[in-house]
Amino acid sequence: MDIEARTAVLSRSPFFRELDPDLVALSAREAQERKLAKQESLFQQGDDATHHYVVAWGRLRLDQATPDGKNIVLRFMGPGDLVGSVAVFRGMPYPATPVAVEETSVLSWSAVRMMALMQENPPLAMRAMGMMGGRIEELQARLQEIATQQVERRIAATILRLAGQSGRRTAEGVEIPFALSRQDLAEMTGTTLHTVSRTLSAWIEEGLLEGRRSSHLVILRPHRLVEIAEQA
Amino acid sequence: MLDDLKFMNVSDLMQGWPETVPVFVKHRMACPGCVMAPFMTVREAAAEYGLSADGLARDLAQAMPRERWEDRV
Repeated sequence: MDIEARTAVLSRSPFFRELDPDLVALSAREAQERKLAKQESLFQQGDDATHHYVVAWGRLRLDQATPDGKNIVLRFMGPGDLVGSVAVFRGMPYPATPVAVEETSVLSWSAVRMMALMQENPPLAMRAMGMMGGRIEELQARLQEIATQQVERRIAATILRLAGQSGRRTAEGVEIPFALSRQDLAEMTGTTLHTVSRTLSAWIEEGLLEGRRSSHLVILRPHRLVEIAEQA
Repeated sequence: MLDDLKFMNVSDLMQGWPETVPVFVKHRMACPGCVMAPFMTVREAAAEYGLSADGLARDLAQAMPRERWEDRV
């Protein structure tokens, strides 16, 4: 890529977008370019974090090996995404291995040079913080999914199983005709009382269940509960 | 007959008249095999899928051998 093409790539990336054009042009000039073939790694998990990267085009898969040798996919990175910066700022080894899933091109700056650019241009540092904040937000959302969605399905399935075994039809819905405490449900679903309480409260709020008037749960919207239990 | 059918529970219907199972499948309803089928009427099931209860009842009735329905009532 010539400098013009690099500048165009950077001005579209969220890292540099709408920043001082001179800064973008300077950064484009100073960047090192590297092309990766499909399946090639940009660096290895555990390597010293020496460079910041921006994906110019293509796509990387961020693989992380767990201590027991499993591989997990953290995320995919596309054009404009910042790679490696968290580790560089933290002064720790790269925590994952970016592998090109198609032919990919990246632009890079050494940690020292990027630090100087940021010191001279605070908006660039603010931008990096914003991008890393976005990453945290994404991870929080995923953590929430892992922590709540799976268990939601388990709770829904347990209630349905109980209703299927012993439920009775009432005018309002399907009643589980015995006192079922939240602690019982927690123990049946392998989760905490807190999670069961939070989940049931949300469902009661949504009108899916009735559980306030007595200790008997009533499923007001059986179809919806089945959907939750079976969601992929 | 159609009115009676709308108030029948889905599970009884499928057990008594297995010929109705393909009708639910055709309408892309997950009633066959659903743990809540014993608790839902045809009318309620139709509502969950945004279908007309009359239309669904008509399709179900068509699939049911008339003489067995008449035996029941």
